[in-house]
Parts: sequence; C-alpha cells; structure tokens
Amino acid sequence: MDFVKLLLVRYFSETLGMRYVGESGNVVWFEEGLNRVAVLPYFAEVYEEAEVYKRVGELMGVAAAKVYLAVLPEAAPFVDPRYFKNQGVGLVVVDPARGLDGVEIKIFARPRPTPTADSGRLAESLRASLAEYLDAQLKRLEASLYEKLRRYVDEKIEEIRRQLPASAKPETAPKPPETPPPAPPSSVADNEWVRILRSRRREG
Amino acid sequence: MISDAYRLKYTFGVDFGTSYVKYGPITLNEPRVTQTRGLFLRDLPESVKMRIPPEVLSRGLVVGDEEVRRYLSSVRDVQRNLKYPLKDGIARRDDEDAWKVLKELARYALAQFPVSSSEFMGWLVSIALSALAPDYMYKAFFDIYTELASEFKIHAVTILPQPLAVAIAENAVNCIIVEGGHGNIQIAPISFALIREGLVALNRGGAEANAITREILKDIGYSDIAREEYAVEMVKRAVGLVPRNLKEAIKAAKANPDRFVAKVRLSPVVEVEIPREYAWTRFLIGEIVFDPNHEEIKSYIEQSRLRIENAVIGDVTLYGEMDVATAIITSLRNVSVEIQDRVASQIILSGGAFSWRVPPGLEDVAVDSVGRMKIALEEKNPVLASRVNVRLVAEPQYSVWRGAVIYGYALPLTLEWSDSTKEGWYFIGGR
Repeated sequence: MDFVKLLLVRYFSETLGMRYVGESGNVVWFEEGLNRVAVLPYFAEVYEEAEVYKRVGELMGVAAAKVYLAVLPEAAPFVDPRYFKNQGVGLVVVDPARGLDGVEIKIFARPRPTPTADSGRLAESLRASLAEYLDAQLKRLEASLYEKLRRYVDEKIEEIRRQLPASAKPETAPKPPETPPPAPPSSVADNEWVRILRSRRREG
Repeated sequence: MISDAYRLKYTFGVDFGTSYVKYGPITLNEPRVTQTRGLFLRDLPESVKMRIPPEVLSRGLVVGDEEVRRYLSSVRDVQRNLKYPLKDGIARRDDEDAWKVLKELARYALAQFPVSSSEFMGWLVSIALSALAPDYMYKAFFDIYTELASEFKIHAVTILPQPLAVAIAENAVNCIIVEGGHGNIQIAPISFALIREGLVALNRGGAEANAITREILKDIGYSDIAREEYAVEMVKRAVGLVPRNLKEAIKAAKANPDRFVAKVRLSPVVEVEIPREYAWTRFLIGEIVFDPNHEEIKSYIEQSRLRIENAVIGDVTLYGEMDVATAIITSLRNVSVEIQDRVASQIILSGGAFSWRVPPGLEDVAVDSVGRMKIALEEKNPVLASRVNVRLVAEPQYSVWRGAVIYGYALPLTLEWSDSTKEGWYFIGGR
C-alpha cells in the first residue's frame, strides 16, 4: 500500500474510528457500525477536471452508506463544493508532506439509503452492538452515580467547613442568643470605594 | 431582601485575564486560578471516547489545568483543539470556539463552590474584563451567565473594567492605573470611576520583551532554546534588566562586560550563558517595554521578525511605538483639566510586564519599574514628575479579583445595568 493511501486508511480507522475492511477495485472500504463507507482515492500528479467528476460518478454507483473521494491538495481548484454537497459526496484532502496531520475532511458525506445486509451478519452485529450499548449504559450509570456521590460529599464538606468557625469556639463560653451578622473584613470596611459605590444608590 | 451579611458570603468574583482566570467567592483569602484555555474533544478514537464521562463528552470540551492535561494526550490535533479564547483580553465576536471555552470556564468556576444553605438566593457575580472589551463582550457574558442560571443559582451579574478593579483593590480613588500585560499595556485614569475618554493602550507588553530575548538567544547561538516560549520566558525573567538610561547602561556594559555576564540554568542539563560581548543586550529586554524608540532596539527589530506597530481593537487604537511616559501624559490630557492634578497624584503599576528586579551590585545602571517610570516622567515632564507618586500594586496577580469582589459587595442592588454607563446589576430572569 502506498504511503498516501496508508495515511488515508489510518485517518479513517484511527481518527474517525471506522473499521478497515479492505479494497475492491479502486475503492477502499470501511465499516462504521453497520454502515459501509466507500473511499475512492484519486491521487495523480496532474489533475483533470473531467476525471474528478468521472470518479464522483463512479462513487455514486457503489453500494455504500457514505462515499468519499480522496484527492491531493493539487486537485482543489477542480472541486466544486456545491456539487459535492448536493450529491452528498464527501471530499478528503491528503497532504502527504504533513504526515498524519495532513489528512482532512473538507466536505462530509451525507448518509445514503443503506443497502440491505445479510441476516446472519446483521444478527451478529446486533448482538455485538447490544453488548456494547449495555456496557456503555452501565459505564454511564456508574459515572453519574459517582458524580452525584462526589457532589453530595463536596456539599457536605462545604457545609461542615462553613459551620466549623462557629463550632470551633470554646464550649464553655455562653452562646449569644442571636448570631450577629458577620462584620466586613478590614480590607472591605476601610475601603473608600465601598462608600463611593454605595452612594450611587441615590443617583441610580 | 439581600443584606450586607449575605453579600459578604455570596459575592463571586471572576477575573477573565488573557492567560489566567482568577475566581472565587468573597470569603476566600486568595482566588483560585486556572489557565484561560479549553481543550475540544474532537477527532477522538472510539477507545478513548469510552473512557470519558458522558457529561464531559456531551459538552465536547474540558477546561481547568488538571482536566486539560488529563485529555491532552488523547486529542490528536492539539494545535487545532487547544483553544486560548482571549487575545489581549478580547474574544472575537464570531469566534464560536472562544465563547464556548469562556462559558465552560464560567461553569467550571461556579461548580467548584456548591452551596446547600437554605438562605442562599443565588450568587452575585462580579466579572472583571479588559478595559478595551467591546460592547458585544458585555452582552455575551450576560448571556453566558443567564444560560448558566439553569444549573447554578445566580441572582445578578455585573461587569467592571480590570483597571477599575485594581484601583478598588488598592483603595485609590484618584489615580492612573498602568496595567502591563503580556500583549498590551493599558493606561486608565480613574476618578471615582474609570474615565474612558482617557484610556490609552499600547500594543506592547511582556510579549515584546520575550521577542527580543528570543532574538538575543538566536544571536548567541541558542536557536534551539529560542523556539521554546517557556525557556524564553525563564531567560527573560532571569537576565532582563531595566536601565536607568539605555545609552549609559550600554556604555557601562561594554566598558566592563564582566559585571554583566549572566548564566541561567533552565534544567539539570540546559544552561544558558550571556557572554561578555552580548552582556549589554540584557538592557534591551527591559527597555523595550518602556520605550522602544532607541537605535539599538530598532536595529534588533529590523533584523528579526518582531514587529512593533499600531493595532486597532473596536474603536481603540493601540500604539506600537509610543513610550509609556508619553502615553501617561496623553491619557492625562484627555481628562478634564479641573481634576488632572488629583488624577495624576498617583500612578499605580500592575501586571507581569512591570515585574523587574535589580540584581545586587547593578543599582548604578539598573532600576525597577517604579524607578524607570519616575525617570521617564522626569525626562518628559518634570513638573508632573515632581507631583506624582508612583508605586507597584501589592498583589499583582490577585488585585483585579480582589477589586471585583469588593465592587460586587458594594455596588447597590437598586442600580440596574445600563449599557451607556456600563454600570449596575444585570438581574437574571429580570427583577
């Protein structure tokens, strides 16, 4: 597999999390859950506009839920984004000079009607995804329980911390019948600005 | 009815600085601090997604020093996904990612102080923003806190400019605040309020001192170290000097370079040495903040990629080459003549760009920021210099937050927010 295609496969499998299935003809196939995704690489030294659109036509004929055309940055002048968007065809630009960071989806593909899968494979996938779903739900439940517990503990600690100064007073001292409101700290009480800002009440 | 006692407990200050957010309720002695940045959880492999709590994943980004570090290695394109929302204290109106990060920071700050008391009717949030912040930033912050009110109880929100917060923290009613940040320097005259007409901003700050340090490092042969911002900052802090008079300081350093050679250990294996023939350049590092109009600095600027030029934010021009003393005099000229004397009675310096020290034994040629400012004013306007008292803030890092909470405590709740005066409380859900 040449380097540019390798970058493409790594991006789709590792970054987008799709499963690499293989190649048939010119098309590279991936699976995204139950959906099949087709990517048609068109890497050329010299690009021709007609060739770009011929390959888009080819892609629209394949049985896949999403289709992408992959090109080098040199093909950009020949791409009409409106056409790609209207047809739901995605565009991936691969700049081999930038390595793994050089792969970028410029236009996302629109999902198309999925071709029917065979029932055996479907049952197997269903089982796998159900197990995955249950696992995710359990993890989510665990995380939310943990989060609620953490919040509860934090609140209680905060409450205790607030009460501490009061309870830390010597027990022998008689409790005042009513707690006086806390006096502002000296940095606030002595601040000239407090008086100035308070006086704005009358103006406002 | 909200009492003073209530406000002494439930006023919440947030200082949105370009590099750090300082936040917390009035009851704290010092605010909590976190970096002003957020990490977008995009382009993640499925295996990593499974390990992230669902509520974090659904928000799509994390903030907070620890949290960002935890996920940093999982995100592929860090350059694209690690977002610093403020540049010179300003978020662009159309920068959606920046506003998402600011909202997440606002949520993060409030979430750390859960309140279960029955008397709690909601926070009184007091936000400090750059004095250059355009009107849309005020509105955007009110919107953010209105949205957050569904998660946290928020009674009302107010916003004040950072220089005013410094003046409040310093208990200075008539003064000029000179706030030296990383990207710019703001000169703000204050007389019972911020005098917006007198606001003067310079498009220089700590970043320019870093840039000239970088060029010096390249010249000495440390090009590899010059690429790392952290290392450049360390070298700047260690060797940068503010001269009493640049020409005389350079003359002294060239006549007796051994006095000025310096070594900085950046790590157990990396040490930077400023050799004899470059010892004089240490003075350029500090001087560029105060006055870049010297031949020696200009020649460095010409041979580097460093540019010192004017910039415009909203309707404010940030001057590139204006020296700090001229900026103070320009600012003062825009204040009513009647109160100029009072305003000019004290100049208060704050911010990291004014944090310079004088190494023992170099007092004859080097000064600290207060000393340099006095000398510069003396040169430009001796009458003004003889009347003014220049000083540095007591707590450079926290003074804005402290001013913000005092403002939130004192500003009457009868005063509703006014877009024209930019003062008052914005009540969440109306009054």
